[in-house]
Amino acid sequence: MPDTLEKPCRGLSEQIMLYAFNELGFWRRRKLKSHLRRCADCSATYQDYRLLNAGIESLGKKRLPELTLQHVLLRTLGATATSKSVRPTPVVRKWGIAVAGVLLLLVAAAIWQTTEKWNHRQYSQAEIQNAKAEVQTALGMVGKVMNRTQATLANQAVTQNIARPVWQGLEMALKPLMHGG
Amino acid sequence: MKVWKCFFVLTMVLVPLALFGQDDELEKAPGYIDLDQVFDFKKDTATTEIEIMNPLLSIVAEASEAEDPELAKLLSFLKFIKVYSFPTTPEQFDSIKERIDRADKKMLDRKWERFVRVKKSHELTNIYMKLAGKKVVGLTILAVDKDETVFVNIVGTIDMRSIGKLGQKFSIPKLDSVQTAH
Repeated sequence: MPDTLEKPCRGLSEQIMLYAFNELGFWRRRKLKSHLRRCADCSATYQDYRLLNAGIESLGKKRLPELTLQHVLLRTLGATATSKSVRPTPVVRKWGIAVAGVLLLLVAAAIWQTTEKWNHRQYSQAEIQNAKAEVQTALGMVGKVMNRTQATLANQAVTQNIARPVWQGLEMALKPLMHGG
Repeated sequence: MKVWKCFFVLTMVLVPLALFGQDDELEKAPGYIDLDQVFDFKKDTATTEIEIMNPLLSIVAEASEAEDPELAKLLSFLKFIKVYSFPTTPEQFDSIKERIDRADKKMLDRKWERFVRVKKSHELTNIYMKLAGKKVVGLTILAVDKDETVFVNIVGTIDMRSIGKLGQKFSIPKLDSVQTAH
């Protein structure tokens, strides 16, 4: 760590360090970059941290135990460098959840659409024709029962306990049969 | 970390829903009935067994668009068609009639409207509708005569006028098929 560390603006020390070590979030980085362009002290601190980072990088990578790392961070940055301080703020967290939720919904919708398309693709022309014939047979059977019902209706043998809206529905269904379509 | 936990939980809930939700949708549809359960019916006795659901119904609707627009329109609102029929002997009539009567009670318990009940010496026809406001969202037919027993369940928004019209159309054997037979 350089001995001649410049004194950065209040509250920015931690952010400058995180930026130098490529650990600062996108929006904070943008904000800090614009500040660094204007502030010579902070810019100098940033350069010092960059040198420090470059020095550490040149040593080669060896993973420290988590506890040691925390200890070093605490000793280097003091009380502000607790693990809590690098957590996202509640606003960032809320936005994170919202964005994650929207992304998830989009993924689910995409899966839904794809499954629909797969389902559409899995039927051959022969199967579709067969299904069409089955639909016609099914409707034919409905028609047959309705025809029989209509014949009985003509003989007035239907129960009178029919609610009015239901009766209207029945009339609608049987009208084409009664008047030949 | 919490964000990722939420993301993980939502993924575990939404993705299976997207993949398998479509099947559950049918059984929860108000117009659906489990004929096997209501009538205590064994499928293997059926001589005609038709079960068509979406997306096949939608595909048939698309395929019928040019040839039969009314059929296409009717099918585009349907989710499921099930028809079982089997031959009946006059001796079986009474026992089937009794079972239909038991099924009738179950249907009424499930808030189906019985809009037709035709009862004659060798004929029993019950036609039920499931209503959602003014819309018909389910149609069920339980019918038996001395020759045949028919069960029908149609799920979806049903245009009764079209059902009547198309039913009549398809219940009449086509003339051209008779001509080709000769």
